[in-house]
Amino acid sequence: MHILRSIPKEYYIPISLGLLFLFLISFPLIASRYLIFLLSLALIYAIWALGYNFLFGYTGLLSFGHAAYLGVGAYTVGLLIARVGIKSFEILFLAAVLTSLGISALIGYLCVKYTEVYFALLTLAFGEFFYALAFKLYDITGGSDGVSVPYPYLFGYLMDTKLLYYVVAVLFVILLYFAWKVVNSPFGKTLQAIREDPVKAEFVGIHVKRYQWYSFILSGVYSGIAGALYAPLFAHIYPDLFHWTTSGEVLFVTLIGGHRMFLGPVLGAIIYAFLRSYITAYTIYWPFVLGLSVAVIALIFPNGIIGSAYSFIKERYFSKTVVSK
Amino acid sequence: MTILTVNDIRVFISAVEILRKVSLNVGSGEIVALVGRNGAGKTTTLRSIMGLQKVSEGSITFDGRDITNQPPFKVSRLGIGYAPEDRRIFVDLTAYENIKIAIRDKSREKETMGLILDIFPELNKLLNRKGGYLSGGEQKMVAIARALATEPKLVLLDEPLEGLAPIVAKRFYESIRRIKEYGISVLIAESNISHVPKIADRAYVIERGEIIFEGHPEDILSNKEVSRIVRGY
Repeated sequence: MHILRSIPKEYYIPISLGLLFLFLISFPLIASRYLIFLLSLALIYAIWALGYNFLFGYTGLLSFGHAAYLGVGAYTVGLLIARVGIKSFEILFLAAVLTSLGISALIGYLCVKYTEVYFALLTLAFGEFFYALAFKLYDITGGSDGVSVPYPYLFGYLMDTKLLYYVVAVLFVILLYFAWKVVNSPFGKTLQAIREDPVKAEFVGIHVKRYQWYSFILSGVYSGIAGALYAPLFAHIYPDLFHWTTSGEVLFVTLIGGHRMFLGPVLGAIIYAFLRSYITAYTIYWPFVLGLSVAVIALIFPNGIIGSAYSFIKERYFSKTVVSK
Repeated sequence: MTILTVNDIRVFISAVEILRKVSLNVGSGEIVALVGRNGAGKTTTLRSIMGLQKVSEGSITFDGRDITNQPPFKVSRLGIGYAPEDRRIFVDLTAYENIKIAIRDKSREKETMGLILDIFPELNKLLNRKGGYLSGGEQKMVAIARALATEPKLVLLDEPLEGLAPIVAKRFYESIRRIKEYGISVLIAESNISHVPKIADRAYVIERGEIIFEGHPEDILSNKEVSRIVRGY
């Protein structure tokens, strides 16, 4: 703790990001191919959950349909490769960002007109709408079979598992840093004010609906980016990407990590991806075991793992004696 | 010159008529008190002006514009700041962040903060403290400071002195008078009649949703009938 206290606070973020980047870049040197794949998946989940948390953790809006934007990103990349023949990941990535931006802007505009349970139901309905589209437009989407997605190319290099991992890692660090800047900017503080109380935010002159809409779009774009990375990782896209159970995963991930903490969704994503992978290897009843594990985590750590750990460390090492006034 | 005119407004909550043709006005640079017992309709009047409560009849004009039933963010942007009774500061944000999010013209942040810290110098040492860790009086300061951060022409203060120790209340009198010195009009809802002559230029008394008196604050105390109604004894 003495070492921590001796470092000026403004260096915490650059040092942490630097260490994280070093770890991620050197990970393939020591890890098996499967672990590289698994960490790629965890980081993709983390990007998705970071985006989801703009809306849920920072703006206070609970979406049950965020698989829609993951699916939009994945299908944009998958269909452009498989049906149009575009192989350049730079173009595919840009297309996924623009598509998820457009769709989340449209759906977000409609959803933020409503609040609480109506908002949640509307997001669920839109998610299921995309699920139905992916299922029914067989000629384009391949229906329930989905579409196989060949590896794209990045600046002429084939994006195999290893190169994809590096792309995911770099994007993750950039998006993590960007998210940190956003939540600590006046815009982020405004979102937190809206989360605490939309009415009081409104009477200090904040156009609450507009900010909720911006948060929705930002969240949708992060989800779309996660989808754009998900498609080449699995080399396959399928309708379940839009399903409400997939939307439930990002909510799980965010809750087990801690939605009131910045890094909560990231840790939640890593735990979820690894836990799921190892449980599925041992039992066909993995949803039961996974559900039970999540329930136990939620019971032991009501504020999520990071949230509870933060409270403990703060209490244990940084608490000051409060002098009553 | 009149900056705010409330003209015969009627407000219903469920089927109950809370405000019955309430009319009042506030002049430019004037401090006006709206005095009444709990439940008389003071807060509802302020909420109606802010657009937080639907007005069924009548009109509210601010700075020459009809603001009746306008959404709160528009009312705020037109130049009315609001510090509600329950303070309602953002407990997860620091005092500084609470104030900063209300500053619309970021290029004027320095001047706005200067004005706020001139009115409430005590805030200087509290700026980095989270809202949830402030005392009741400090939270009231932040709530008023946040209302001032919107660069208003008029601030609505709902029971700003309620629950304050006498010495702290005296400090608030000074701050409210300082707000006036900056040319900002003030409409205060107050249930404690003894505070009113010390801060207000003019006062209205509201009882059961009706304005029953208008005049100089000292006149409320000298008018036995009105004084009895406000005090409740």
